Amino acid sequence: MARDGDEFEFAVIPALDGLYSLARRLTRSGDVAEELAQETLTRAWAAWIDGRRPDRVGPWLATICLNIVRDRSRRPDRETSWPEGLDVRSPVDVEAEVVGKGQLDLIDRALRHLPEEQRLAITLMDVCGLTAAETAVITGAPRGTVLSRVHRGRRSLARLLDEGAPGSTGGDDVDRTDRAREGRTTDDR
Amino acid sequence: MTDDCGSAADPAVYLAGELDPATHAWFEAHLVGCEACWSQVRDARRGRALAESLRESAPQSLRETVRALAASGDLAIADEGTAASRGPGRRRARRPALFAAAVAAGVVTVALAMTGPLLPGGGTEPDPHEQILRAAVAVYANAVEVESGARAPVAGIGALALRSSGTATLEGTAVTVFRYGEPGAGQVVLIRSPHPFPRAHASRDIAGAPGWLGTVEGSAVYCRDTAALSWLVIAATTEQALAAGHAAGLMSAPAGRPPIRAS
Repeated sequence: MARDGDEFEFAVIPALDGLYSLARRLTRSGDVAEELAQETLTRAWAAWIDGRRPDRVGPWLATICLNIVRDRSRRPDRETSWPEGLDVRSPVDVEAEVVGKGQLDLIDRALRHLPEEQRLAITLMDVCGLTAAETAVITGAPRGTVLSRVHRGRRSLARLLDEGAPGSTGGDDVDRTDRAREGRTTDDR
Repeated sequence: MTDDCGSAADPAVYLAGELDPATHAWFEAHLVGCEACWSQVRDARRGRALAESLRESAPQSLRETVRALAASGDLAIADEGTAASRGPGRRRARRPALFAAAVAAGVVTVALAMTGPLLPGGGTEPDPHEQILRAAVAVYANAVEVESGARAPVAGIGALALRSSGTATLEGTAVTVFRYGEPGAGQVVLIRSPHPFPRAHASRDIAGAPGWLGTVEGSAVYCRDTAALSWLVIAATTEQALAAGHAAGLMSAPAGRPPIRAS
């Protein structure tokens, strides 16, 4: 009925940014990310009209998307597997006309340099916006482990990206009491 | 990599906001004097900000895919004539391959044929005449906080409570914005203007009710002009926009009538 379709739209559209951000991190080009996201949506729709109604749409779509990637990586399709180490992007990825894209490229490379559990935890929590509890369910790890991986991964990211610039740490001259109080609101859930 | 100093509190737990209040306060004071813990906290916050900067907006094509899939449900019923004729009690048979094939074959085109001019055609340039409508949808989508103060038409729309109200400026016109529910969890925005809004290109009339219903930048918009004011109701779907317009008293349906449906 029309209601299935409207409910699906209503539920899924707010989660599209998170899904696309995840797909983008799992693939090597925007085109492939878009295709991966569309495949995810197609499978999600098939489940939806079959009666499936997840509690939270964001983690549900992320799970479907990751499952597609894992299925594909078992086949000789290098477009959607976790890249090993520092991969050079193909020229089609370099959207040179977008300001700041170079910086995003660096961050993305640094992220791909992390161990897989840390990379996945950061991708799901920081890039896709899922909670630690949701990430724990998707990865099958205890929530405390997820928090620990995210913490180590974030610190590694900061070091990888800042170590090239001596004296750029930027925080030491500022009054630390104020900086500590910046963190009064909860950073993670 | 520097480790923490072996203090009683774990910086990761602190950053997750899960230290008890006394330990939390203690740790914040501790950060002032402890280089090891301080650099951990600083690096973790920086790393989080770096990772978050990788967030991207989904391209418009994904929204269209969702709409096309949602519309293809009706299409599949029409197509599976033999299945439907087997009786009303029969559960609709679904073949996931049908939808994968449909998307691959460009089901967006089919969905356009189904629902008429309401969906945007491919390749249309933005209409400068509709700029104010796009600005209104941007307020809806971006959850821009506005200063509070105005009196809202209703305290809630269905399960969505009034979250904020205030003023904004759209293309030079001062409007009042009422936001119901949370962005990302199903929200509806009402915008009230002293001047009439232009009619969206992708729009149609509603049987039995004033105003028009349309699509702007992928969001559903219902518009009602009265003598003194012009209203926009912006939501994710047309059903929602209509239901919200009705709940806000914009559709003048007498009490007891069901919500007005688009023809």
